[in-house]
Amino acid sequence: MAEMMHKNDHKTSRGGERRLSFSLGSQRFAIPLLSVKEVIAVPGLTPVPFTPSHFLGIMNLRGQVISVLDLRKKLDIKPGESTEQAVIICDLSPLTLGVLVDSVDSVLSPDAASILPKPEGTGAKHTEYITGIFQEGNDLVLLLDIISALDAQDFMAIDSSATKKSAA
Amino acid sequence: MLPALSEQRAKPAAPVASPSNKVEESLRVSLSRLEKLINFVGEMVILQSVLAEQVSGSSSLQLRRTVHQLSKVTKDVQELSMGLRMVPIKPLFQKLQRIIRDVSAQLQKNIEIDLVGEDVEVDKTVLERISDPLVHLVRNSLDHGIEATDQRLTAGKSQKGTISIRAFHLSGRLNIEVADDGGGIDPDKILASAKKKGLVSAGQSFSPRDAQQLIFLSGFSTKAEVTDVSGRGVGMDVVRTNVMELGGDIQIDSEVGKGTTFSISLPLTLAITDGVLVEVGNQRYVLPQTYVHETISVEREQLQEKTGVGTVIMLRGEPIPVVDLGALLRMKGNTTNSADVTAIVAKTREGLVAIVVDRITGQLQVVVKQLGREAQNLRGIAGSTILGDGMPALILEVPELVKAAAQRSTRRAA
Repeated sequence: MAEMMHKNDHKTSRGGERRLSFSLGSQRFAIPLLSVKEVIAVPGLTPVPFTPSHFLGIMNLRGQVISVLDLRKKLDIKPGESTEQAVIICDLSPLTLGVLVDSVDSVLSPDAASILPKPEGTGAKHTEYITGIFQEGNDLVLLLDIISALDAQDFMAIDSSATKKSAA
Repeated sequence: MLPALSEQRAKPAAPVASPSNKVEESLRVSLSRLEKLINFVGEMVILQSVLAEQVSGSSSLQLRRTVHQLSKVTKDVQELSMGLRMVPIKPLFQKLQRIIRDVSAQLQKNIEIDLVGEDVEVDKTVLERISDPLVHLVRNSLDHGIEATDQRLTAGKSQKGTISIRAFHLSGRLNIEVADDGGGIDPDKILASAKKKGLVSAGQSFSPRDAQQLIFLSGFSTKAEVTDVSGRGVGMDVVRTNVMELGGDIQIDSEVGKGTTFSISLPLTLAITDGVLVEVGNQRYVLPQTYVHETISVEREQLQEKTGVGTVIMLRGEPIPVVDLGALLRMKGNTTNSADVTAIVAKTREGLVAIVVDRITGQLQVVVKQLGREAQNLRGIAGSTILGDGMPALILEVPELVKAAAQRSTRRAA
């Protein structure tokens, strides 16, 4: 996987911030490469009770237990037909989350000028998660705010109530 | 639930070495690096057991021998790495000593302090989390336990009261005893007070020892007036809850007129816990050993469903509520409808509960892994672990699960 990224990286390097693009259903998204720790094949998952439906379960990443979320369910996107699936391990310190996507495409570096603001007033759902769009060949790639899409800010605010509770 | 690892990392390490200790060169290492190491060792142990499994069928004696040696070394490395988190209990003892001095001066009681076992080692997290309960116990002993000086003299005791705190290792656990030579806990008074508060029904009878245990009920306080030394409405139930959360146990041994001893037994570390591995609907869960009272296998006919009571089973003449683990977890699963029912009888604060599972796979020692913050506040889930085949499994906090399920059903009924 790492090799593939490097190749694509050279081809599309245009000097902007590097972003990893991936597909959810038939749509393409991109997130900053800096927030990506690694990309892995879909591992064995253990479901966790009392979690929302987009919470797929927990996985073992070399001894670390990581939660895996289904971004398609979260964004109401129908799964793609391809059976190829991958999990992007996102480092959103202090959180580390796995995100299930249909496929991981390439690393793109669109320069700042080619990134356009998203069109407003379309009445579409989930616009708050999209920070901009850019054209890549015939495709429109949406820049995704991964932190808000995963509600990660909510988790970061949780100040482990467990420790407070234990104070007698 | 256990505190987030990241929070522990932020705190500076407690002073461990003191000049009076034997001179041994030491090195200060951040807790996060230590934890990483322990994580990797845990992973190594898993890989090692997978490897051992894979070569067990091999015909090469040499290969099997090497893997066997590797197992031994891995075990040593694991034990050593676990030991790295251990610190002496001394700083906590010093803190307690200070509190006893201050509080006894405030109460104008003459107290002698007897501390034994300050070199006993315990996991740093356990030490941090047992501190508050112990302070509470000691304050209680000073305030409620040891009598005022004139009272002691009338009772024919020495004018000076004694509080002794002993820490020692016993069968792989840390034991802490807080003993005073005060007035003891009067079972009749306790029972009367509990009945007055409606914590137990008026007709119930208790042995003196059982009556003393009632001080652990929530909403209990025998002292008429609330002092600023002890008694803020939290009381002994919080102490017990804290000890239970650490996977420990607390016992009272009290004789009227002679004194009271609280004995706390704790696991040496939170990083490893003993548990029972169970299966429900193709998923595996670990139930911590502390909650497991016994395991039973009964015929399905013995489960009796009664209106207003729910499903119960008679166990040694006592009705025990029966709950299905799959239902507790609200997980879809094909709970088998076989003629026999396997259940784990679990201890909760409300009493015993039989938890029906599909299968009990066995007992095991697991390395506890915290869940990420995104899944940390789930009620009834204490953490996770990685099983021998590399798959994660959840560690369940049984009393919380049962309580949450009971609350759900009362809400439905209302």
